[in-house]
Amino acid sequence: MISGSTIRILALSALLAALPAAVAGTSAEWTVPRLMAALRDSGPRETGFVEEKRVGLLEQTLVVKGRLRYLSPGELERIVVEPEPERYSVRGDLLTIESGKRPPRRLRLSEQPVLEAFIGSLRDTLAGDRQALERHYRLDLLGGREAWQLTLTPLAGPLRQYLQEVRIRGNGGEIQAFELLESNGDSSLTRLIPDHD
Amino acid sequence: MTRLRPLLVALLLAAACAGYLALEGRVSTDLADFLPAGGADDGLLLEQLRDGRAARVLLLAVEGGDALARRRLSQAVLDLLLRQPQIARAYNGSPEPDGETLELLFRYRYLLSRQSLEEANLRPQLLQRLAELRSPVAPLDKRLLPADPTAAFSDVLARLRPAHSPRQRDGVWVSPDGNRALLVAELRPQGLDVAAQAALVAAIERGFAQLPQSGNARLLISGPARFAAEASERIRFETQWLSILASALLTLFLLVIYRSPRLVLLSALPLGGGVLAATAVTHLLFDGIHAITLAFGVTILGVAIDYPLHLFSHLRGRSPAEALRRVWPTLRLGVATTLAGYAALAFTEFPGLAQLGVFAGVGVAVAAAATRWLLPGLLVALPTRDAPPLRLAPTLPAWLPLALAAAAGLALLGAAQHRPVWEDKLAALSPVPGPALALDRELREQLGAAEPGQLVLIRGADPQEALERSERVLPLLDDLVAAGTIRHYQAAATLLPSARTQLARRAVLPESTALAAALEAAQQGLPFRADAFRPFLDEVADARRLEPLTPERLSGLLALRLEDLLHRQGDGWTAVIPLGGVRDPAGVAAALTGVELPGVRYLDLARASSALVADFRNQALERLAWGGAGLLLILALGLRSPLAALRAVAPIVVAAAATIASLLWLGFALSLFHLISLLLVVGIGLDYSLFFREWRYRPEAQGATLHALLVCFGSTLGVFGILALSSLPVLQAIGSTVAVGVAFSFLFGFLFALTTEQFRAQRQ
Repeated sequence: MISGSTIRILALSALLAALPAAVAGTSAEWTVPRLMAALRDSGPRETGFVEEKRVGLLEQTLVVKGRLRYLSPGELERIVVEPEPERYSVRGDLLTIESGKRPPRRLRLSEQPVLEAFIGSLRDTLAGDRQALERHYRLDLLGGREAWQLTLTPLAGPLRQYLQEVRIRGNGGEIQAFELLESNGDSSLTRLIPDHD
Repeated sequence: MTRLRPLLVALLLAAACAGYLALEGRVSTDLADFLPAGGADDGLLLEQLRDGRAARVLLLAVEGGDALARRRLSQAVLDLLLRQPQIARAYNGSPEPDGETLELLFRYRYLLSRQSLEEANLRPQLLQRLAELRSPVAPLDKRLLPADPTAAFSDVLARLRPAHSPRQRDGVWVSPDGNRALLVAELRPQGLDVAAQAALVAAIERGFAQLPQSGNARLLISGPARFAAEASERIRFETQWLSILASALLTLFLLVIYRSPRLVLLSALPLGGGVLAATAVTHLLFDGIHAITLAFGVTILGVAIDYPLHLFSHLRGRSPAEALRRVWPTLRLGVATTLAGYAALAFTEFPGLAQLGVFAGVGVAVAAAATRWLLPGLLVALPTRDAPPLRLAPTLPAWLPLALAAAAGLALLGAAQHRPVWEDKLAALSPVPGPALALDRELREQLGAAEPGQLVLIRGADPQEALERSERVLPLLDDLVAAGTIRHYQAAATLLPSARTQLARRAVLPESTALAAALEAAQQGLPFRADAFRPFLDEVADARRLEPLTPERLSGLLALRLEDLLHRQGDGWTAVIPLGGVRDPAGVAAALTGVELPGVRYLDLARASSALVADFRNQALERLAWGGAGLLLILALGLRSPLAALRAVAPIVVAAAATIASLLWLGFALSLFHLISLLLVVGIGLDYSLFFREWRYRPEAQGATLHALLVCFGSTLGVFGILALSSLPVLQAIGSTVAVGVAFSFLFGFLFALTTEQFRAQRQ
């Protein structure tokens, strides 16, 4: 016959055994799959952005401001407001560039592998598509849920001639900054500014 | 023994002919051998017809399966194509210029590009580059910026890219909707050898079927080689079956009529001997014989079927010698007149027509000779039949011939007013079915391939002259593209400007200090570093010392593309500008003839070949008119009276008019093949007319003569009626013309003979 005290000891052990699991659930490791899931779950969003470009040829930093619209996986728009209105939109395979009075340029990403990989660094991250990212980059994740940095390093190939590294920083499923380091020393930092009231 | 002597002689001759052909026989299938050598213009036309690049292109598509399977198959088919010795080049994706070519083009960009480095242009260019630097794709574009701030290189590259390139996915060409993988193959120049082309297409199809991944995918092939292959297959199939059917029908008919297998067999001797002799003699005279000559020649020799039949019909109750005596004088006259007609053809400038004339002439002569000297020795008299000889009481009015002539004449005039008379478009004679042509158009559009028949040709004494002359044409072509008259074009001068143009550009390149000052002024207020464009200054200075880039210095892909568009021809050079999507050939012709452009010619192959056919036809008509005169002369001599000759010819003329009128009213326009068939009709019809005349003036032979005429008519009608059932325009033309023609000839020959007697009887 099981005594009352035995039952209490069993219950306590069960509780104690469950404790690490509970603790693990709340402060679990921040992994790439989790990041990707969080990004996927964030859904469509629209933010403002400010980009600062450092180009070796230029004496000053170029500053570009505008809005970034993420509509769905594969649908992305960058609308530049300052200094000149421009619009870059990605719809599936098609990249359309509307700039100034010139006629729109249309490019098929499937015909330009390097361009596709390049754009993928932002597009696929927003979509949380790990498989697409790993086709072109090696992924390294640092930090925890509230403050993470994902580093994309191009795998061997033509992309490496242009790009050294892409660093993306964010909080949970929200991307806050996007930094590009080019092989020739140029760099650009884009900060995403959410519309908070 | 004397009876068999003709047979021995005949066998000896036949053996000689057969032996000669077996040893030396060469049948040509090259269409160019059939066409005339002609003048310089025609030479150009023929050159394009045989060796023109567009005529050598095969368009392929892989359909079915999923995208990945299609991509793999595209690669496999490419390998398959490159393994065929007849294929010079094949592509399944846009080939990129190699590094060496790119470097060369980069070095020469200021001579090759149309851009100006004037001060006024510098600032807008710099502003544009600045805007591009702000773009998110800047990292990929900006590497050349320090050396090339005016983006001259991208201007050069843009001109190199074909105007109309197919979509590319994963490195292979696909159709706009992505459901097909597309490929292009180019055959080596080797003339219009249909047999070789058919063999190639068959080899490709076999190879595809053997590919492991080809499971539920299909390979579509289109292009002139494919059409030729299919056409020759269809022609062979139909002629085989139709000749079997016609021969069977003829044999059966003759068996029923004569009830003697021996006679039926013997009836084949004159025709067979005629064909053998004709082939041998033609081959001897022309050092070879063309397949077309063989095919049509045998058809025209259909008149020789009649010769033995006349003889056989007179065999009832008579010895062969007696039968021959009755038949031969008239037959001889008929043969002589037929020969006059064919001899006319033998003297044309067109090798094809000349061969045909010789073939038919020799064939007819030999067939007649065989009937005269060979057959009687091999025949025996047939038992008399109790059937009474046929008699007809003439009750036809005397004005009937005139009325019939008038009716036929009016019908012909009316038809000529309301219907197109001549069919000169080669396309109308093409046996290629509609769906195949539609597929070809579709693939050509998707691949951006030029149409095979639309070209601008530019002649020059050397490559540079050809290039310079081309440059004068380019602005006109650009206007045509802008107006939508044509969709695109490819020109050597777009790929590589002439040396003169390059030197002109070099001359206006600013010298270093001037350019540096202009650059500094342009950079005012812009965030570029002061020394940012030092490489640019250095490279422009280098460019000022460059010698123009000439075709020999190119290599790899660019050299190949240039070679296609600019090559040596004869004692000069020709630049070829293929046009695509031509919607208004007349508009193109108008635009190019309005301006003074030496050495420039617009070639619309369809129209040019129609002109060639029309010329062909007019020559034939002219010769035939002479033949007709000769025919009348022989008739007059043979019948010993010009009036009699006219009366003999009258029903045939009316019959010919009625036949042409019928064809026109039925909606057929007359092609060369109709003309040749009419020649045959006249030959046969004249035989009928002469024998109907016999029938009238020799009452004792009436029954046999009429019998012979009916048998001839029935057999000819049957054989050519079957030909008329063919789906090939050429065979249909011949069959229907001859069937209708002999029907009218028989009818009018009969009626005119009756009324002639009536007329005569009334006068007496």
